[in-house]
Amino acid sequence: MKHGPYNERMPIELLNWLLSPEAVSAAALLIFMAGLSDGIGSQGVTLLINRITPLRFVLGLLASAALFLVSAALWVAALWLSVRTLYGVSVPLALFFVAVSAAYGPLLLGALRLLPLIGTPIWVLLRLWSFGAALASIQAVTGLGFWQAALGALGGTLLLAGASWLLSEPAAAVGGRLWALVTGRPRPLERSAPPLVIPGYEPAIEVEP
Amino acid sequence: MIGVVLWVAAILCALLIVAAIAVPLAALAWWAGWISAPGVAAPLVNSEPPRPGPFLVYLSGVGDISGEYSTRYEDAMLDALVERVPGLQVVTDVFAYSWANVGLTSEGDLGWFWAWLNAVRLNKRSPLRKVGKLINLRNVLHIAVSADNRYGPIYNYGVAEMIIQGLLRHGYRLGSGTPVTLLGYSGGAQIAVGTAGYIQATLRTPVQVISLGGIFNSNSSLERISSLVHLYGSRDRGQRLGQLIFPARWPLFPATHWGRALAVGKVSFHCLGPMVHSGRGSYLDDNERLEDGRSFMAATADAVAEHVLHLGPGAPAGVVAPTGQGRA
Repeated sequence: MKHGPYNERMPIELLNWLLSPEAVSAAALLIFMAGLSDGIGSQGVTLLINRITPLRFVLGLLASAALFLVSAALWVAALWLSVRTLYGVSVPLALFFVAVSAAYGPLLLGALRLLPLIGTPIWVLLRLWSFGAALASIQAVTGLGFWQAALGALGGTLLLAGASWLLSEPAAAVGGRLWALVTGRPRPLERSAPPLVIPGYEPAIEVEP
Repeated sequence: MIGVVLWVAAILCALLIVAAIAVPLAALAWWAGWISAPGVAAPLVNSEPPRPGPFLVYLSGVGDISGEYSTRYEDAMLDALVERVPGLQVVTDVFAYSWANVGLTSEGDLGWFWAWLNAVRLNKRSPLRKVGKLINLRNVLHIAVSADNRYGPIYNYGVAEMIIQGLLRHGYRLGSGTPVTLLGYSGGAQIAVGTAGYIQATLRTPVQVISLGGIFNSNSSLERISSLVHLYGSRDRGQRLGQLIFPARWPLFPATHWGRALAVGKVSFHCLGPMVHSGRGSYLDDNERLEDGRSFMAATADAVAEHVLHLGPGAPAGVVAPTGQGRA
């Protein structure tokens, strides 16, 4: 089944704006800000646990947001390719990018992941909300039905996963170098716990526990 | 009018979220070296002559405001405990809800606010008495941080150092192998469970945790400590919260630290009687009595003393506490 170039019910003024460079910039900014908030909620904790300096902390978050934007752009491109291949939808990539970027809106609240105990469940809900919004955006911009959009999203995600698998080694090398650059550490940081023995209080005489 | 109420509710929610996020961030910033801990003294300082012990560290519930503050009910129970355990050294000057042992009234910017709140909540005629519950809310946020797998290791590490310093202040001798009991009331039990592993590993001595109506999460400390005794009242609904809100304590997940500690018999339950969580009829009530004539407070002190005495010098790690009378 062939679909129209895009959803014909969309007002022409809105369509014109969505196709403008300003709209693409605004969409990229939205995703970057969502990546920053999401990074504060997840990457921020890892950076602090690894006793990073304030300057490198900020640089780490900015790099994390930039990587988030790149991965989001790749995901949207994979979705676009998927719905184009599966359903023959011919929507300009820029328009598709702007529409799907709205799905990143909920992740502006990603910093809420910092909340103790309830932060991670909230973050999972935000991710589900974001995925639902992505499906709604695909439907709105392509005129596809819900299950078609879902299948298209699945196809795009699998496409990106396959590409990531193929390029995992060079991507890891680039990621590692980027982390080393911004954090001053030789390899990507991992969350680690403090030592069990608190320095300065160990018994002077060894005793059996 | 409804609009104003909604705005006020939204602002209060936003303030609560900011406060809730500020607690773990402050602990992480301290760990990262961005801020200093004002309460941290130089290590290895024995300000008192060495004492043989045994030692018990009391960590109060969510109404606490500092290491120096305690209610007369808590004082009475701890005095009764000292009478029952010869030579017992009780450490009460550790504030469980600060990784730097800084009491609320000693906080630089907000000390005046917490002091005012404490005065208000203690004034029975004050119409703003309920506002004093903000102290409880503030401490609940610290319990949540201690119980969170992401922040708990950092926060508990800080409080564990404060507890070790408290032990040293009270004459604990490093290397003596003297057992340490951590007694945590209500939310204090979470701090006790969270810090016990560090204390055991650092002092290399048997450490047991006694939870008095405690609310706590599963924690890796349970692998290291000698035992965890949960004392509870049959009418205490608060203590059941821990079992409900922390999935790691659900029977559905037996491979957690909690599940493994249960399986090897490290955890025991001891029903003290028809006590409630706090206030009249609670564990510290010296007026209400059991059928055998003992006051609730005396029964609590008896049970705690029994377990402190059981953890004698040289008790091996992994020792199983006396079998409880029931299960919470």
